[in-house]
Amino acid sequence: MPAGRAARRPGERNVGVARLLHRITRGYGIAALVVPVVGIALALVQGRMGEVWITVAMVLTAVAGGILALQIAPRQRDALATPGDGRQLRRLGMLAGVFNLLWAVVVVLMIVRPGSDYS
Amino acid sequence: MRPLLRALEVLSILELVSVAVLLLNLATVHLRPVTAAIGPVHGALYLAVAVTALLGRDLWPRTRLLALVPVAGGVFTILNVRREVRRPVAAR
Repeated sequence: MPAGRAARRPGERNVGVARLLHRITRGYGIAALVVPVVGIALALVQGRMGEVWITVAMVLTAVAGGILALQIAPRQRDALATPGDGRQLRRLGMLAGVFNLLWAVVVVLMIVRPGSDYS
Repeated sequence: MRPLLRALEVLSILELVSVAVLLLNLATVHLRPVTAAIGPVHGALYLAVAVTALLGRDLWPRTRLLALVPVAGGVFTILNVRREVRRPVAAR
């Protein structure tokens, strides 16, 4: 709708885009279940299950998954249902930042591998 | 029942079953393969219950905290989910 886009003021948000992003969040969230499944299978095959960095990574991954499934996705749904004054969106942004930070820490753990038996 | 409470109930029942298997094995036959197999499973279930209780929305603080108790967390959570279900709608 070009007319609607032209009429939009700066700072105004697009509901269509928000809906699409919410769908992407849910889709990727479900697809991301593959990550821990493959990770645990690999750790079992390689006999690395007892190593500290794997345990820490599993806990952080579980917390990140919990934040995505139990906080971010429901809050997105609420924000789409009842658009508020922007406070709930700032909270959402913060949660997304925490989620990204957790994933970044997990990636670093995969590279540094503290407590690994062999490098 | 809210989907969150349903998920929490199922997870806490599984946690309770896994810890029961571990304790039973410890008290009787003490088979090493059983410990090796069920131990990590129980760890994963404990983690799942803890994360779900801590991050789920609209839960009582007692439900969140008692879910973290090792060994007995599953029993506490099953009981707490029952209480959360009976909670008046206005409190939501």
